[in-house]
Amino acid sequence: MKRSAYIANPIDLAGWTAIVNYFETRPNNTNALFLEPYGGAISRQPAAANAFIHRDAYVDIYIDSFWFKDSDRAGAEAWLEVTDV
Amino acid sequence: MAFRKTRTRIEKEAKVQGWANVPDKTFHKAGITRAAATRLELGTGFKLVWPWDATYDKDRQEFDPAFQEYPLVVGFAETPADVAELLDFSRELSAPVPVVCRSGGHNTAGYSVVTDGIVIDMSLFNHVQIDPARRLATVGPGVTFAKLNAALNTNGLHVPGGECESVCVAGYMQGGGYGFTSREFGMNCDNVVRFTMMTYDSTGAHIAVASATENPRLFWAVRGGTGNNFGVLLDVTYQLYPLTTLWGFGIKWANLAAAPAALLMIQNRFSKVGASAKLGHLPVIMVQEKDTQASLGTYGLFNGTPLRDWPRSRACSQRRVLRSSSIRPTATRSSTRSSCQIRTCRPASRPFHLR
Repeated sequence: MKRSAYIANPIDLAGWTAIVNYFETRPNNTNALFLEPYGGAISRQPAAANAFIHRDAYVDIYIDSFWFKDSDRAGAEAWLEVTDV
Repeated sequence: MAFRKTRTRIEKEAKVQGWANVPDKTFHKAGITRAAATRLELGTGFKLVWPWDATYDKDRQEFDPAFQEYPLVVGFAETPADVAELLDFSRELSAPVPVVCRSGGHNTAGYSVVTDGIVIDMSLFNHVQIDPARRLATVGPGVTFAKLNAALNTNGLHVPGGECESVCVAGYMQGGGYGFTSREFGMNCDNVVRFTMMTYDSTGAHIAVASATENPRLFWAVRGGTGNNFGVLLDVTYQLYPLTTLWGFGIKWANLAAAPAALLMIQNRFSKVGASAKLGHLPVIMVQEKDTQASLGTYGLFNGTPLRDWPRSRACSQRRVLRSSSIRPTATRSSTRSSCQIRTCRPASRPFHLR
């Protein structure tokens, strides 16, 4: 299962520390957190050029959460749903 | 002209005869009458997979097994007319059912399969036609990046693509389409110059061509507007870029205590602002193979001449000529130091194709 977000307002050091600490609470060692850096040609395109409007982002961030037994699903999904890091 | 049954038609007739052993309640449970299913099966020339068919569980499956949905039928369309048949069928049933399209089945929210609805599988629309002189490629919605990249590599041409080779063009492009070269060449959808789409209204199916000058509103909406919203994509034409030589690199911060400051630096200097657009990379926090602790790494490519385009890459000491399109850097050797360890220009042998 995946969860993702665009980071349009830069995160400070405390924020990135919280994200790393949150990752360390993962229920599964196959989970991963990725960033896709924006800028360059992506940001040069005006937001109204087409339906992809995320031209101002610094990065997008996505988290993969895996489980291998049905009994682990709830925990894996709950970890993904954490909003307050 | 003499009529001779195709092998497909003979197989379909045999298949429907076999349904004599399928009880009525099985059809009823699937939400369809035996007559309606028979009419579609015998009235079409392409593969249909129903809940009572042996391959149903394989053919309804998304890339991510977390999604378990049970469609009424999966149709493997081969022509635009087949797509129209499936769209018509969804309206002919006593209660209309939802229709979704599937190209690679990688949608991370499971949008390319639907319970009690129709899945239009577009994987057989997988043609690639490249015009090297005009640097254009017209491709089917169900072409994988494995196939598209192989075809582009032959011509030394490139369009931004995904990390996963079994992703197909349609879902990726309509979702925007981020790739390792997007900072230089834009999102995949930014490079679409034209597409063909089957739309549907009260009068039935229509084929629309869209570009900056034809159906411009549809052209605007489909590029990044997410699949399944406006119609069924039938083909896409991309503008292409010459791309043959790249630097590959991997950087690892083995001690996760260094990660917050490194992530802050990546955000502030290696994303929206700072680094040359010729740099593409994918930072990741994970437990790397053979490690027991999570670490931060970033793996990517640089499409330029280091001293001219980006003095910081002076660390590169060795030049590699890479085939550009199948870009998927992997982890390099680990470091036990908390500061970052740069392993430049040491492309992994498998994902990169050395010339």
